[in-house]
Amino acid sequence: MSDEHTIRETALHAFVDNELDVEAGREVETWLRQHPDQKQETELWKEQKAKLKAAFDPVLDETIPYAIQETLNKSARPKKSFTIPWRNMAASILLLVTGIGTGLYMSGPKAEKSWPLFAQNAISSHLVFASDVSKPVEFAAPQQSYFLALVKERMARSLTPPALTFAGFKFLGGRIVPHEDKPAVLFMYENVNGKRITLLVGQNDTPKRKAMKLWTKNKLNCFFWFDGKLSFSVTSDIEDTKLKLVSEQVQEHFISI
Amino acid sequence: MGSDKQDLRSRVAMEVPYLRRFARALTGNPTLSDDLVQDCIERALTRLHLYDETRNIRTWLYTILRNLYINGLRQDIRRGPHMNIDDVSEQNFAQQPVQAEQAVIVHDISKALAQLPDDQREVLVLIAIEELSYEEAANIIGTPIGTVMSRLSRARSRLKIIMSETSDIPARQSK
Repeated sequence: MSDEHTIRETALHAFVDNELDVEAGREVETWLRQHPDQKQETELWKEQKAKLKAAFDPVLDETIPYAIQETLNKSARPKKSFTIPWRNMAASILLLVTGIGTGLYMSGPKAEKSWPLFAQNAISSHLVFASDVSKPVEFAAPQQSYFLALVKERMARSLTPPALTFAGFKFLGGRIVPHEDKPAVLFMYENVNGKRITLLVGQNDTPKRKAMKLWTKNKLNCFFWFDGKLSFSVTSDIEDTKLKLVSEQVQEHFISI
Repeated sequence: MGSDKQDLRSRVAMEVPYLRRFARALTGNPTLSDDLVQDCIERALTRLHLYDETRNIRTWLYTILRNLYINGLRQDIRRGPHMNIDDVSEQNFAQQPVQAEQAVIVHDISKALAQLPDDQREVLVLIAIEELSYEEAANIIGTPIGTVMSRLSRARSRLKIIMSETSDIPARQSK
């Protein structure tokens, strides 16, 4: 398959999926008029799409099953993973209402320090380990199964490193690091230019829930968030918009495991 | 702020029909897909504090559902015992339309979709059924756009072959 052919085929798919702007769309239309075989092919793709829609769109009109409705109606309290005492829920609502920082959040003044502390710790870990050229990780990717078994033992739960290949980063490996007197896990990634991303997962004494925030220090960007008993951070010197995409992917990975 | 959270919950509720369609097309199995939707909603509702308001809620939910499905496949628990496509009863497929003539076509496309490799099927489902952009699909799957496009191309060619095979053998019976 020649490059030209590939480019043309890509444009044809993009045309069928309304991905082209008006001008490019017109160009493809003109071209198709002179190429009946390819025109037929695009018609076939449209037909596939119409059939798929006909097969699955009726699901939209089905009655929502009772079990799903029940899940939607019940209170937002998590069922299995961890339970938040009512008092802490009240505290978090109070916090949101008053917006006076984290002082009252969960466990008193100590918690206020701990959120920037977690980001600080993430940045320190990145500075120390990601700069290490010869041995940045204690367990390299080939030893993954042993390392993940160790992670499970030290963190009391299974944590797998998310794939970041979509952003051009491959998994290098990781190590166990301390965070607030508890084991935390540091996963490390690298791209072809030698840029590195570290992902730190720490354990919280008391469950904390906070949306993603950016913390910048020493030209390093660190996105971090709290999800119950775990704290997460994604640190790198790559640009923050790209790192945010990576962080979102990381967040969604851990929501689903 | 409490009402904002309530608002977010009702926005999640409004996405349920779309989540069900997405899950049904991914798994080809109504029971399995509703379990998946329920699991997805449970996780999303307990993670509303992580949802970034600037993002599209549907693609956020799709990402969670898709990851749950993939993790399930990996662990091979969600899928349960492996089902041969010819052994699966009619009701495991998408709702059958009323007209008999149309039923043949719809039936075939559901079967054909189920026969695609997982990575090709999810791309085709996101783009042809859910009508997302290439970029949105790439973000959900966590791949570059180029990968989405090449999988889409392969999915369409393969679907064409599967469909022409099934229409050549009109009286294909299950065992």
